[in-house]
Amino acid sequence: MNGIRHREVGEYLRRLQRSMANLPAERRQEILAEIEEHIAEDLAERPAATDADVRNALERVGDPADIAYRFRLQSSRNGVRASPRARPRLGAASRQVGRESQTSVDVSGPDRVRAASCAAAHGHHPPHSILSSRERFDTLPG
Amino acid sequence: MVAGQDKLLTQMRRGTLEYCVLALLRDEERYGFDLVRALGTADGMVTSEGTIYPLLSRLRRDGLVSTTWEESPNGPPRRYYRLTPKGHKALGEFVQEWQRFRDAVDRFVEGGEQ
Repeated sequence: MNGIRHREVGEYLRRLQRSMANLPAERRQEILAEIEEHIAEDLAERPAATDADVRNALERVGDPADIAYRFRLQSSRNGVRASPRARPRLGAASRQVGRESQTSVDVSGPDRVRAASCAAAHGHHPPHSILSSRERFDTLPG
Repeated sequence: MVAGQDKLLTQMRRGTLEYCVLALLRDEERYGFDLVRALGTADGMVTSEGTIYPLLSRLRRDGLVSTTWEESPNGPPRRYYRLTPKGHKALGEFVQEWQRFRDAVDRFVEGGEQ
């Protein structure tokens, strides 16, 4: 588990923690711990992991903003309210994609915006540097 | 992959991914990394590995999976996920509906006179 002490892993986990900051604490800790363990498992398979291997592993795990966004969607199911910060953004995002039915807008609205704004840019394997995620997070819907 | 295809895949994945997760847990318990790796063997099923964990957390909260901590041969204990009876039931219902739905779509998209 040497890889987990890698500086970039630490930075990634801190960024993930920040992006999930306004979500339910208990589940946030659970997800953070699971992802930390996931990265450790991944890097444990590569005892001689280079910096590039570490960066690739973190890219596979994904943009912290994306994970936080999924968390928010999952939390907003079954009547658990999305965070106050997320709500106006969801509204703004749904206006961008036009009128949709009341029942589907919270789930599909921002996702569709994301798909439109991000999919073209990176598809399956985002070429952007992990280090640019913070800027991206600040501009993403949700 | 072009943007339109990516969006299409996103929409299809959204409704089916959780059942793929449940199906992977039908016969055996798995820990998160193992589960993600198994999903990753199918093209297009996982884009960001980390997004599986919010899903797993929600499945647990909904009572479809339960978790136990088990020792790992090297490193800290792992959280293992397994299907609950409620999870088995939800999966069974999905499988039935999916087969009907898939057959219906196939009838149209595979062409020929309908």
